[in-house]
Amino acid sequence: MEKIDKYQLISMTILFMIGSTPLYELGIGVKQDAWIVMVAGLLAGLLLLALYLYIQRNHAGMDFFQILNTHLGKLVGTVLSVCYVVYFAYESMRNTREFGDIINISFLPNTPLSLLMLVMVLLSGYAISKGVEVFFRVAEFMFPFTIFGYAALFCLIIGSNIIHLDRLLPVMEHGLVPILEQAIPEVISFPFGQIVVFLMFWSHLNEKRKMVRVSVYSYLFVGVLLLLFNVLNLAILDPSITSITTFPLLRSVRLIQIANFLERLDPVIILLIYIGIFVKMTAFYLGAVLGLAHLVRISRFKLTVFVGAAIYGMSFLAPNFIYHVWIGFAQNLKYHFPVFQICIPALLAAIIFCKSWNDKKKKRAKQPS
Amino acid sequence: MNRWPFLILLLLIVPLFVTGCWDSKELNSLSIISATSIDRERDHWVVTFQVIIPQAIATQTGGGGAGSQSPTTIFSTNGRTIREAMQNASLETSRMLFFAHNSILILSEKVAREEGVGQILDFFLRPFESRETMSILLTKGKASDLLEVLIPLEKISGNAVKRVIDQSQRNLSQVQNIKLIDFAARVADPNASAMVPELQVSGNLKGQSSLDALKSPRNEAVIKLGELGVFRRDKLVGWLNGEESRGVAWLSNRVKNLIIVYPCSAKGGERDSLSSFRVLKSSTKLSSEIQGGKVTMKVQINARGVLDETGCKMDLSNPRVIAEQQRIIAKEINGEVVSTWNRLRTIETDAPGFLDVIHREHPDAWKKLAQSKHPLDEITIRPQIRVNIEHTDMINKPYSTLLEQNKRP
Repeated sequence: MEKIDKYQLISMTILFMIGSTPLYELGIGVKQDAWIVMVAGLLAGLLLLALYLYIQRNHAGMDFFQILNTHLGKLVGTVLSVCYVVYFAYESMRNTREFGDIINISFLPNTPLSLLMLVMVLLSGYAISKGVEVFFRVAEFMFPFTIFGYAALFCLIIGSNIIHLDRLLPVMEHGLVPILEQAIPEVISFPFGQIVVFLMFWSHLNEKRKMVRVSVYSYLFVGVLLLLFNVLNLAILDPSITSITTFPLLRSVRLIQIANFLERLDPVIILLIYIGIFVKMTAFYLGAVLGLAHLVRISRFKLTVFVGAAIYGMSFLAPNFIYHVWIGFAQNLKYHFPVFQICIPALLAAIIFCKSWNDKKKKRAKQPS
Repeated sequence: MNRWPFLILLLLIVPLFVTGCWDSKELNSLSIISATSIDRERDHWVVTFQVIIPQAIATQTGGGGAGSQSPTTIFSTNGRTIREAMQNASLETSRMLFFAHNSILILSEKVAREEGVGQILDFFLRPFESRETMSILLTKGKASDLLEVLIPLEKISGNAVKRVIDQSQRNLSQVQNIKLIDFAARVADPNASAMVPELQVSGNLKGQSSLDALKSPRNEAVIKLGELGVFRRDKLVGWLNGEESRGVAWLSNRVKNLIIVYPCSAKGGERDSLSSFRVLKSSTKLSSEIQGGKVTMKVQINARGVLDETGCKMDLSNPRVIAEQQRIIAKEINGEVVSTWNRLRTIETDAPGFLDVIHREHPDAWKKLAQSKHPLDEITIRPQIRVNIEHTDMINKPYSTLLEQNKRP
């Protein structure tokens, strides 16, 4: 069994959750209250995280697919496993296509999308073929650079005096209802609920006792970071401009101007976003590979190639970026992802809870006799 | 099996050499645009570019670009959309137009008044290479004329104009540089109006657009900042003159450095003698009050500065005299603010963003106001101005007092 330590888990959780999220303004449907949507999503996501951790805690050393099979039986377990493999691969493909298009829109408009995505999938596939440990070490290595990058951007934004906090007022103009409507389930499904894939990795952690604390703290840290950049976009671009901009953070960063020479920092943000995207797409890719390994008995390497090819192939499904974003944000987040992130884990947790409760009752019943 | 990792590695390395080929841009195949202007002729957009000629500015000795070649060249193209006009430009240039260094965008009054800036903003916010930090300017005549004027001391007039704006914003708060992104946000804001400075040519334009103009010390024409254009939503609706633009600066907390000229006494007695007060620091706080359905906007201005010049005869070391002076200055500011507000009300633009303040502080009252046809007419302002003369610089009594003493036997 491959082992990871808690620092690697921290780095992985944080980079994974950052992903491409800062680039988008989640909850912009409610204009200046978008950040409250983020807070609501963050808190609701914390409940989900607790749910996942509860499932994992009761089954140390088992990954998600094994747990599914143990509790739901061979047939249902296998069907759900296949569904999850598809789901993980799909999430991975979403990130692949997304970054390909970001590069197309921003830096290399004439470079073929197919090539950009091929490079990304190959890179992820290479990381995965080396195994879980190597991938987590890569995350650990990239973690300080990423955090430093975001911190530096934050300082530069402060330094160029482009923040207008008054643009966040009035707070909650239309009450709490539209905010919650935005937060649930959209902001939960992206990015907070995606942490479901960690059910595949937690079993590798060498210090099991630290799992809950490490995960929750990393989650809170990254939640605050995402919230910060969400607020910054609103305050820099004004809710109106934010709502029509494809990548608000990219635009905000382009406004940095310090002392007439430090400006046009968009490559920095693209680089940071790529680190996040790489970690996220590889994590989902790895999740799919590990899951498939339970179902079919062929070598890890062949699985990696197979899943990679599937991800690469799927990434051409959307005819254009507009459709890709529409299907992701307007369809998947509302109707499809919650099934995998909320419904099935909740069901599983309920079954586990009932079983353990039953066991306790039986024990108690036995004890007096 | 052992060959696989090697093959994958190879596959990963090869693309590294390939990327970028599709999008390579060589510096000597670009023509770098330093300024753009947009006019409207019948149903066509006329887009004019000022392109930098690298050879002409690549000289070691600075100062005026009085070489044999003009530092910039200009060409105009037209089309049904702005992009089409730009695309038509490639029919006449030898190099690819490179937009990322465009620092100013000049719109003609006609475009701003009749067409509105909606489509222009859409176009300039869209492409990746267009920068949100470019300055927006208006002009009353043909926008392309301004690109022709050569400016002494500077080689690239697009950059020069940007510097003129930056410089005057620092030293004279009535002029405000407005970046594309802020302009777009203001235009989109239903509770505030955008303001854009006007750029004008004064003098003989023909003379200053030839290279010979830079050889004589006196300029035939100069580019200068003029009035302030105010928008209602995406259309230009009026101009504010110098005094009114100062009033707007006071109202919207933008005063950083400003000279206030005021008479010696409140009655305006000694008519010839005037003094100057230089504002060093100022803050304006807007707050709204609702009383019985009436909206009052409290404008608290707190200006601090120094007495910079005076022709009056008075004892400046006496605090009571200083207090009197402060009162006169406050009255002067008050006059500017009130007359500006009246003017803004007549052209129905909310340049300082009063409705925004009400929206933030009293959302309910704002809802009522937003439905009214003339919301600004329902707002009354109550300026409260505090002026503090911190010191009188290097002399503490007016020089003119010395002349008085000499008269005495």
